[in-house]
Amino acid sequence: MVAQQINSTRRKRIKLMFVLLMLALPAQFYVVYNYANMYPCVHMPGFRPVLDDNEGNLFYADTKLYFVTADGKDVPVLYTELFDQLPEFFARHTMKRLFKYNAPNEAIQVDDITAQWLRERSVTITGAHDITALKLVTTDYRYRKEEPKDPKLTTTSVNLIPLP
Amino acid sequence: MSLKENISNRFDQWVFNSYPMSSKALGLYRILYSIYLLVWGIPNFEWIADNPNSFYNPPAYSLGALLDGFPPYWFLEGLSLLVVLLAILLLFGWHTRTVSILLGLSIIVGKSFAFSFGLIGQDIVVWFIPMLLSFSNWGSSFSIDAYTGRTQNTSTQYWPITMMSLFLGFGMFTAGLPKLLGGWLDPATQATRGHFFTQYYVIGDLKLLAPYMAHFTNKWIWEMMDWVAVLFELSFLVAIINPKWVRRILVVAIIFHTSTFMVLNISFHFQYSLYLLFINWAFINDKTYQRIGNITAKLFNYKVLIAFMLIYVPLYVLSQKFMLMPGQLAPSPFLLLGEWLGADYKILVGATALIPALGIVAWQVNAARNS
Repeated sequence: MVAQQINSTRRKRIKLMFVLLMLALPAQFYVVYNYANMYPCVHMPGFRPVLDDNEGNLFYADTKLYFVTADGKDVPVLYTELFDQLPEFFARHTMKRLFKYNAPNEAIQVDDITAQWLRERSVTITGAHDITALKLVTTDYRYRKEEPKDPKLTTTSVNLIPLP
Repeated sequence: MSLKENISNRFDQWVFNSYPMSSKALGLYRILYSIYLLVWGIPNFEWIADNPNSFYNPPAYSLGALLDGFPPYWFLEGLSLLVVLLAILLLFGWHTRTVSILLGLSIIVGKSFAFSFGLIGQDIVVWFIPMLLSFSNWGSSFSIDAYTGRTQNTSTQYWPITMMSLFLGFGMFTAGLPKLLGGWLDPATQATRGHFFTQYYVIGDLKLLAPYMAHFTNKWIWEMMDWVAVLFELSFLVAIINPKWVRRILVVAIIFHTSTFMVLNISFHFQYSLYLLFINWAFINDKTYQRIGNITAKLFNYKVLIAFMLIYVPLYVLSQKFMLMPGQLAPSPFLLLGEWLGADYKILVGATALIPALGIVAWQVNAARNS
C-alpha cells in the first residue's frame, strides 16, 4: 500500500481544515438547540412528551383534506394527490408548513399565489370548476389510559381556505 | 515528548492514517459506490420545477438563498441528466478526478433546490463522497484512466475518508441531539412509539412488522428503543476518534436501520454506501483483486462505456417519464421493473438494499474474527 507523500504546507492546510470543521460543532449545537426550541413539535418528532401516562396527552394529529364545491359538498383529496410533484416526505412537510398542519386552531392564511395554485390543482384533480374552498379536518388522537391499544379521536377542527 | 507534541502527533495520525486504503481498495469502492447510484437511485431534480414559488423556502445559508424561486425545468432536467452521465463515467473511471468533482458539485447544486421546501433530507452526507474522494486518487485502479495509462500514480491519500467520518459523526449528532433535548430518555414517555403511531395511522400502509408492533404494548421495550436511538446517534461523534470503534458502531447502525425498516418501513439505503467506506479493506486478498482486475480490464474501455450509456440513459429517461411517484432519488430502471411487476416500491428498495448492508456486517464480523 503506497500512501501519498504530502508536503508540510499542504499537510498544515489539511489539518487546519479539520480544526475549522471541528470548531463548527459548538455552532452546530447552538443552531440545533435553538431550532428545536423554536419549533418544538412541528419539526422534531418526540420534541414533546409522547405516549406518557398522562391521560389526554396528544400524541398525533391527522389532517384530512377536502375540496368544497359551491353547493357545499366535500370532495376528499389526498395530500399526495395535491402535492403530486413532491416526494411523499416533502409533501407532508409542505402541507404542514403551508396549512399549519400541527396547529389546527390557528387561522390559515395562504398567499394569493398559493390560493391560485390550489385552485388550478382542484380543477386538475377533480375536474370540477365550482370548487370554492379547501377544507382541512384535523383529528387529534389522545392517549386514554383504559384503552392504550386504541387511540381515540377526541377533537376535530375544521379550517377553510377560500379559493379565487 | 511534550504533551503538545503528543497531541499533535495523535491528531496527525488520526487525520492522515486512520483509514488506510490501497489504490485497488479505493478503485473497488469507487465501482461499488457508482453501482449503488445506478441501481438504488440517482439524485433527480426534475420534480422541483413543477411547484409554485410560494413553496420556495431555502435555508438561509445555501445556494438556493441567492434566487427568488425554483430554477426553470430545462435547467433541472439538464442537471439530472448530467448527474446520470457523470455517475456512469465514475463507474468506468474516465477522467476520474474531474468527473468526481463535477458529480459532487452537480448533486450539491441540485440538492440546494431540493432542500428549499423547508426540509433538509438525511441523505445529504452521502453526496459529499465523490467530491472528497476525488482527492484520494480513487481512479488509479480498475479504471479507464489506469488501463489507458492516463493515471500511473497509484499512491493514495486517506484524509478524505477521515473527513467523511467527521461528517457522519456531525450528521448523527444532529439527529440525536434534538431527541436528547426532547425527552426521549425520560422513562415516562415512549417517543419511538409515538413516532410509530404517526407513521402507522397518519401515513398508513405500513408493512412487514408494523401491524404487529401497533399492538405491541410492552412499555419497557418501547422505552429501550428510545434509549438505543439516542445513544446510538450521539455515540458516533465519540466513535470517530478510533476507526475500530467506528467499525463496531457501523454493525450496530446496520442492525438499527434494519429494525427501523422492518417496523417503520423507512429505508436508510443511501447510508450503506457511506458505511462501506469505513470497513476494514485490508482483508481483501490479492487473488480477489486479481479477479476484479481481470473483469474490469475487459469491461472498462470506450466501446463498453458507450454501449452502457446507450442502454442505461434511454432507460433512465423513459423510467422518469413513466415513474409512478416523484422522489429525491430516481429509481433505477431495474427497480422500476420490479414495481411494474407488482412489488411495493418502498419495500423493494429497502429489502434489496439490505443484501449489501448485511454483506458489510458479515465482512466486518469476519475481519474482526481474523484480526
